[in-house]
Amino acid sequence: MTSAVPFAPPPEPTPLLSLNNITSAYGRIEVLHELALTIAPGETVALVGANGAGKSTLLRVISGLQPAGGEIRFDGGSLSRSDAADRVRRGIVQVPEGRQVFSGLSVEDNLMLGAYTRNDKVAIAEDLEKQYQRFPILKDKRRQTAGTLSGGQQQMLAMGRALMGRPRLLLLDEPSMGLAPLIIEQVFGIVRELKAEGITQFVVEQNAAEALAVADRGYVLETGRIVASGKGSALLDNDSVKAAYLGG
Amino acid sequence: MFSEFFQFTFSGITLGAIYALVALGFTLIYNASHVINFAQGEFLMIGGMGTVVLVGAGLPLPAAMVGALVLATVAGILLHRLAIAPARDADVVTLIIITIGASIFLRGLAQFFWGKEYHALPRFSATESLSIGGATLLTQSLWILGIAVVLVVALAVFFSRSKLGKAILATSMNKDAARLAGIKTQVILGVAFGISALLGAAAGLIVTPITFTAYDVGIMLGLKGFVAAAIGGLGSSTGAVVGGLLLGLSEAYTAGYISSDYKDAVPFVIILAILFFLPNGLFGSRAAERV
Repeated sequence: MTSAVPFAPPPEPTPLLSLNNITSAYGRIEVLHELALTIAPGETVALVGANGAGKSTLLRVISGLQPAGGEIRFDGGSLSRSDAADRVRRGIVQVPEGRQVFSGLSVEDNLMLGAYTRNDKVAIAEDLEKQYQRFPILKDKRRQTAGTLSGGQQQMLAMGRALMGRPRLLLLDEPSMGLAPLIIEQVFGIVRELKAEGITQFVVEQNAAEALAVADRGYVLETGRIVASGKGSALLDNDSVKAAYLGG
Repeated sequence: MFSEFFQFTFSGITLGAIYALVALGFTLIYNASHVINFAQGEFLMIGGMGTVVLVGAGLPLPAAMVGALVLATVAGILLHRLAIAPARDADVVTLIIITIGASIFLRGLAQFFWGKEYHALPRFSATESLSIGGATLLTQSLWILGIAVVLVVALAVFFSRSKLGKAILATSMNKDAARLAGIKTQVILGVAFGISALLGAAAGLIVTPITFTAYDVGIMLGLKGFVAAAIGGLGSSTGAVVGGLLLGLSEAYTAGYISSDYKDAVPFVIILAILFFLPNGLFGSRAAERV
């Protein structure tokens, strides 16, 4: 049976984040080339790739720390006139590579600075309590300076600090870097928990197996270009991805 | 004998309180931006000279003092906005040279508009001095100490309690992470310059009744404050206060027991000794910078 009505694909949900034609350079060296990707609301998306592929640069571009050409749209609006602080206020919050806690400040001060752009005192106090429930170790150590924490505890603190900003899009840059296997399990456990809570996440990882296993979808970045994308499980089975990032 | 010692100690602490305030100004800007602000001395000059000029224009002393403090704070914020912020991508040495240029510029403005004469301000209290145990204490010294203590305590409370204070600390510890928390780090730097200018101006103002002021007093006071900050290990606020007091006391003892001719040489002898034997200062971090 034929019909005059052309075939209409199911309507795509409006993406929460869409990148179009993104280029970025350090001096004259371009590290991201005409890059495009989208993240739908509620999705957990992984970006995997080798060292130096441009993964962290991409997250810095999304957060507004690194200048870039092209278009970034968030929640339907353009971010071209939005600085880093404004993006945090809109809900784009990053857990940076290497934790980057404020090492001379107390654990609690670090968490409270995560809510710097917010003014709703009551809700902030509730969120602080939530982080203490999620990361009990932080409650035990809340008066200690962040610099005295172990690497794993600092990672928890960095994640707690980001969650204090009530992220609508949580960017995680190499959350497993330099951590012991048991702690890595814990970190990805939290990512799963946040996914179940419906928080949209963009996870950048060298640890491709873990990241793709958690993610709904994944992108593979090679020297500044997206070379493969698809469902996390499909990428895990993809032979070239396996060869390059999963040790064959 | 003892009264002499007491006398020298007291004037040393008075001088030291001034140096400590200047050193705190250096420390604040250094922590927030790694810039050594060589225009810091000019804020002292604006505090003293500004008050003199406003009193000359007919304002009562308290109003003139507030006016001079506001003027210096605005100058500090403008220094950041017009000279430091536009060069934000330049390296630290360039920024330091910019502050040297700014200090010459501010001194030139003061010389042009306010003249080259030396001026004095009336003491804050009617009674000039008290005699305690054979030593003469200037009431102005008590004012200096009192105001310095209030400012240091206020600063400590500001940094440990207020959101803005913590944002300044966070910015000084990790600028990128601060930006990722939504802190506008350029605004924060401007605030740091403003507070630093306010501290400097307050120091320049309270010391004027006992030392006189002129368009160029900032050079020596600024340098000595920098030495105090370096003794304490640039970047430590406790160090700034201790460094200021140590410097003030050494100056006063040298002037009293040796000769006042050598008074101004003391800071430079001390800074050489510190650089040779304790390059990180007394309270500076011993650890090498992590890469």
